[in-house]
Amino acid sequence: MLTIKNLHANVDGTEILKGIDLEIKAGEVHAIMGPNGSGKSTLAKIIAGHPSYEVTQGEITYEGEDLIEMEPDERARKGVFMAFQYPVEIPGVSNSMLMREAYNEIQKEKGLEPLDPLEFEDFIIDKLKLVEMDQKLLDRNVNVGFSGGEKKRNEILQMAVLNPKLSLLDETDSGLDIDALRIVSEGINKLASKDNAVLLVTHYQRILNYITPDHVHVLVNGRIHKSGGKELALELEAHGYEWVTANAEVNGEAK
Amino acid sequence: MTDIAKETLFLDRLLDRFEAAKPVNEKVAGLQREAAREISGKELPTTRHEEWKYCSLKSLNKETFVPAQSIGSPNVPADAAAYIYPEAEYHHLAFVNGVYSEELSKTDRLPEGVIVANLADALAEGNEVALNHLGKYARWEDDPFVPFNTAIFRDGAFIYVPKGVKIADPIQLLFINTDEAEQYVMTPRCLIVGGQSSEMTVVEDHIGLGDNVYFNCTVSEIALAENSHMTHVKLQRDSKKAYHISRLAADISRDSDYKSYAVHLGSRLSRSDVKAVLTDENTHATLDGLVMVNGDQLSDTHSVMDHTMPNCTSHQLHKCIIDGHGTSVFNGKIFVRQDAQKTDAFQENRNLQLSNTGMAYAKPQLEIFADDVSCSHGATIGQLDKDEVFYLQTRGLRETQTREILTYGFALDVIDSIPVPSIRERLSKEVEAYTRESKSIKELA
Repeated sequence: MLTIKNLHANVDGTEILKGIDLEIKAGEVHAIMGPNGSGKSTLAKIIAGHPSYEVTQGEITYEGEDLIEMEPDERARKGVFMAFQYPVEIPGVSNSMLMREAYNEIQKEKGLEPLDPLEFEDFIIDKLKLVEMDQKLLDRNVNVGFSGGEKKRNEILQMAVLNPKLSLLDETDSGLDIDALRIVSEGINKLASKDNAVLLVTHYQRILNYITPDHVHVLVNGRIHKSGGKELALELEAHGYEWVTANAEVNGEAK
Repeated sequence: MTDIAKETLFLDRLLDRFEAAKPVNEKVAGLQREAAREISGKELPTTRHEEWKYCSLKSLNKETFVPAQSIGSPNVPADAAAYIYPEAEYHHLAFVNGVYSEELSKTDRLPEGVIVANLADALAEGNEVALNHLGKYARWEDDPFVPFNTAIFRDGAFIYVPKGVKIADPIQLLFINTDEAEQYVMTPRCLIVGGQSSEMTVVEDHIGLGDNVYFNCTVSEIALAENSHMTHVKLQRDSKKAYHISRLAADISRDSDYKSYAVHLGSRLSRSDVKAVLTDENTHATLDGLVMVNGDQLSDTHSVMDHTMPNCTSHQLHKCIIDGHGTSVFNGKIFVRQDAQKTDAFQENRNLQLSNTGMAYAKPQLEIFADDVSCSHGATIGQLDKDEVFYLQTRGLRETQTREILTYGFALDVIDSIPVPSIRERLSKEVEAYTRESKSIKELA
């Protein structure tokens, strides 16, 4: 589904990613772990198309197409979704209106009929249950006055509505209490299928108690230092990130 | 010599075109003579004048206008009644180019004692409330436009809601300004008096039907007695070539509140001076505003919020959207007098610049003489937030659509406070049209 080869990227002239290789297949859950400032959120944002980052080398292929050349909205309509670490508040734009517009854009892309507001309301009621979210939050402005947990649930609600092929979840666990973490994780698990894939960016292991990754990658200083199965996350939790850098291989080669 | 110089002055030239109206009332005649004397020989303010720094009247100074009432049969469209909001179906006054239109007005189903009438008629009949309040709140104060309006006004709106009467439905004052070959000037005058414990909503709507040059110089005075409540919505949709210069003075008594929502979309040059005086304890005033300019439009709002007594609150959210070569100016003065302890005043001015060629000037001005008060103010000038644009794009919305939605959202919180549903609907459409027509939104995308 997604192939990243030798990806280098800059922000404001500083190199953040220094040669990333990654292969994600349909049906897989990948976790990217790493210390603060390692570039893991940057990787998610670049796949989503954030304009502040400049790809200087390498390629990102999604479903056989060059992703780097696409606008963020085009990527979204083709099934790339990003759940933000800090979802922005948008005063004056209602949550339900945004989701309906977004849903209908994707319907149009697929050559399907858009839903009118009433039909959409029926459609979204089911999705709300998935993240145990109060219907009242639909009428509010996007994320305005939402608690940290509500914002994160709202991201997963949007994921449920848009039904993406590739979901980039940027530190979705940060700022969540234990109950909210469970609800959000269960929501993500229910949305996972053999046809879609998840890239989970996280600093801590705890969300991986709920969501079992097929692959874990450790990103340090713009490079993937180690890749492995779900057990790698537990080793990291036990030994810390320094353990990886101390006896590291760089992209499979000895340092 | 002197006379020749006087001839060339804009206001004198204009005044000379008006025949001395036969005095409807001695008191009014006296006020009008005093006003005429005030402006006689006076020049229009220039940009050297601090209050007019960003608002040049040079082009106005060069124009000539005929009195609007001299236009024989104005081009009133057959469907003029469509401009009446459904909520105001039974009580609205209509004015065509500032001249009262009995045919288009309706004042049925008003509670007993309530007066909604042409001001000229009320004054001619010697209505004591009208005579007592006229000219009391809008003072000259170094400004030529209050005396100009006062010197020559004839028609206008007079609303009186007596003690204890509450009117739930809005009263609409519709000012239709027609498309004419001749450039005309009008001076509508509004006087609104709320008795003790009264309640009302007034919608003042200025609509330009064409793309013609005219000069709309309005003065409104509002007096609210104890424990009364008034919501005032002003919608300025004058012609994109018009001059709109308006003055509003509100006098708010103990336990009363006055909420004003002013939306300026039209005119090439719009200048609105608003003054709210909180005269006694426990009063509240809201002066919210939304301004949208494009092309070469200039919209200037100068406000004065005058806290004179303790325990009062005020709220001012003034938002401007600037596109094309448009200019917005906001100068918001808040006075907190020595006696006005425990004042809680809020002021925020936010400017959204869609184009690189627009200008926004923001000047909050707080003068606080009391020591136990809470006053917050802020002014921002900026473009659409990049992170907000990106967020919406990752939801599949196209960049143009994203920018339209965010611009619409920026305008919406002022619109959302307006308590009349059909006006909110009207304004939503106006904002949508504005964003759709915006070249900057499309070019940036």
